[in-house]
Amino acid sequence: MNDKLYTKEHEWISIEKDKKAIIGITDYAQKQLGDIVFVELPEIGKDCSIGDEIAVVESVKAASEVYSGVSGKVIAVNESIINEPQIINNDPENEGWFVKIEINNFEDMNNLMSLNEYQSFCSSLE
Amino acid sequence: MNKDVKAQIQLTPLYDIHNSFNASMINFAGWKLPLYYTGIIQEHNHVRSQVGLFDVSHMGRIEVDPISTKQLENIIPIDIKNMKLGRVKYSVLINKSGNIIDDLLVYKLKNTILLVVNASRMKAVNNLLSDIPGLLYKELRDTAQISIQGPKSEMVIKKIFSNSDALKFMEIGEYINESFQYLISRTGYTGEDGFEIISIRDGIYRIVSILLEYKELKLIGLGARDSLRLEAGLCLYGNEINEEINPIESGLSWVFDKKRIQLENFYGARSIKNNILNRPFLKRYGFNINEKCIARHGMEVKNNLGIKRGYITSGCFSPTLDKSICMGLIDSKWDEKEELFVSIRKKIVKITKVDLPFVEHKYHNKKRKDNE
Repeated sequence: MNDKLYTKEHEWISIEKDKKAIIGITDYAQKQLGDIVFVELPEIGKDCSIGDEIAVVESVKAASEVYSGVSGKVIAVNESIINEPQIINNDPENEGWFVKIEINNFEDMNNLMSLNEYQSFCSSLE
Repeated sequence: MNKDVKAQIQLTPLYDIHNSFNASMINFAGWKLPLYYTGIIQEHNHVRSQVGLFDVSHMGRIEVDPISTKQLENIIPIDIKNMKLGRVKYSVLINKSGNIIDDLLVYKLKNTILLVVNASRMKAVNNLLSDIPGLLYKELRDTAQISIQGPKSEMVIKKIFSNSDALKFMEIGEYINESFQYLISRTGYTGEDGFEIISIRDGIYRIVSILLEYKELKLIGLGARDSLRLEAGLCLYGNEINEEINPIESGLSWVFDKKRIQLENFYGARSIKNNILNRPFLKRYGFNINEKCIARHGMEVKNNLGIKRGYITSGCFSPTLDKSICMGLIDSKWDEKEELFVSIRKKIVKITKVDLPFVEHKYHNKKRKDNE
């Protein structure tokens, strides 16, 4: 079962126990970007609100921002994607995660989509 | 996108092949084209080590009647009249104000002069051509074009074209089989040895179907097309050349015939001549970046005091060199000892001048001289 939530900017958010969220980019996003060659991740401890830029991915084609789908504090980043950005292309929704955030406000999460909603959003873009 | 816009998107004869190879498709200059199939870097490396096939059917192909060579020479500054049969030349299209409308290849064929221009400039090129009194030309809309590039391109092309030895770099031949005519030239946009084939749409489809039987050959998308041309230090219209940049600044003084500059017998010749005599304002350079970021088109280049020295025209990750590369147009008075920087997402990043091309050209043989 998939209990992830999704943004219109093609990030996925997995809500874990203890108010923690893991954020990454979707398979749709990595396909659009093509091969990712560089990644910039935030400092641990950074505060972010919904919609804030938390990371940047550079593909051969273009640079693109990754936004936070939740409000809170960055408590971990995935160092392995800095050295091997191809992990994001190969396994965007598991091994290719970007950051872990401790959520401090659950109220502003109503705009996130379920998997079904996200899938129909993507097909409307085709 | 509304339906009316969608209806105008053009498909190449290889559209079904792209889909059957799971291409990630994009809209490019009014055409539906593959961005990549398996991945830009993998495809890029395949062209450098083996051989790749690009669908370049979106390029504009225009046939000009040799009767109007003189009119054509108003807007193309090379000696077309004395070009030998079967030769190909790179040049530019110039309007009355001396602005560059496009860069192009000019092919001298038996009964015609063929121009191949950028898809993104087709409308501007048509406007220019239709303004030239007495110029007889026709856009070849029912044709398609492919490019085969890489060290093994001769091996692959031999299967359909045994006489490939006859073609040296920048030459073209006209051929015919039992059902269609086709043109093969030894040209390309990657810095590798390679061939380009032009034929009717169905002819190209059939040629590609045969070539795809060879496992050394992979389909390559537009993504790798751009990183390959950038590594080869080649110009892209819209980036290194446009209506505002003069070709001397882009380092393309060789696209003008020397005699014709002296004679000032093409549009904008005087300003081009002055530009060669007086040093142009800008000069094209290649740079490396040793950090994990890419300088993109349009970013300003400054010195350590923050004084602007130019701007980036193209940038990408180079799979061959495994680093970030870019080209830029820089003040021609720039002293190469002065360090240069770009600002990438609020970070100041140093760029280091390197010789162009970034990756050595491996064109076939040496080109024949004009008088050979």
